Amino acid sequence: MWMIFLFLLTGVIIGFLFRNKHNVLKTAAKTTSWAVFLLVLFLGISVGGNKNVMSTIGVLGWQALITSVGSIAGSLLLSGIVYFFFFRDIHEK
Amino acid sequence: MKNSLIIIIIFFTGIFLGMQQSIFLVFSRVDMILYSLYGLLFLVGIDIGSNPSAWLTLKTLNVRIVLVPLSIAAGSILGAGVIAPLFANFTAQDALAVGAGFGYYSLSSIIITQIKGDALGVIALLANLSREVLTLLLAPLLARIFGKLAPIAAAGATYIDTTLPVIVRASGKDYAIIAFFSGIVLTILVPLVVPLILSF
Repeated sequence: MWMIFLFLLTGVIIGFLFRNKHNVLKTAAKTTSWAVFLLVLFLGISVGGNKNVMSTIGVLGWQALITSVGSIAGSLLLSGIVYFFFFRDIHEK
Repeated sequence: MKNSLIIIIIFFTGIFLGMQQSIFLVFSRVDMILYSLYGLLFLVGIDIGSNPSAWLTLKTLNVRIVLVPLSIAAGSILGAGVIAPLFANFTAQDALAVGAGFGYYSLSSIIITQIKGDALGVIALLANLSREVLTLLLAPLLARIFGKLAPIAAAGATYIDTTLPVIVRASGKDYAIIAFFSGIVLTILVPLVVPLILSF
């Protein structure tokens, strides 16, 4: 967990120091999408090679979709309460 | 939208390669995934640190704005937790951790795979990826029914590049800063909150 924070923080500091070097940032942005592609590919390989997971992938998919709807609904509800009490006045001027 | 499709295609290509039980399984070794996670975090950090609006929003910070990502985070975690009893193999802890992905599929699924294994990792990936897709599809509708904050809430930490344009179109330019701030806070919270939930 500390490693996670360390890498994130190092990135933020370097990003801040290089904030005006546009070619560096462009390379970083491009590398980011490739890193995500590679990670998702690794995850897919790991999942495909796992027979226990593959035998239940249909159920896992449904579970994921419903969890996603639950998360969105929860976020809408709580942020809706915040909107009602703290943001409504902006629009009622 | 295009990006989400590419991700889905790559994921299924990976599954196909993995099913061959071939040489590719080398890549699924845990430390390989861990190192790419560190690389990704570093790059995400650069993206946040170099963005002028990120530092600008810090200056205009007030309590009201901070409430936005916090309510989204709490709602996302609890909303997933409510779902847990529907599935026999879903403990409340697992569900809360998936909900704490806030739509950030790559980061959350890797962290969860590391700690809890492939099965929950798949759920985290698909759940958070569908959050991004659903946000892209439903943002205008959500804004009309639930108010201007709704697209931001649905988006969570979904990659700022992909959902921000849709949010701005649905909620208006006034909300771009709030969306951006909320996205950054939630992005930073993912690698902190997910391991925290799973550590109990």
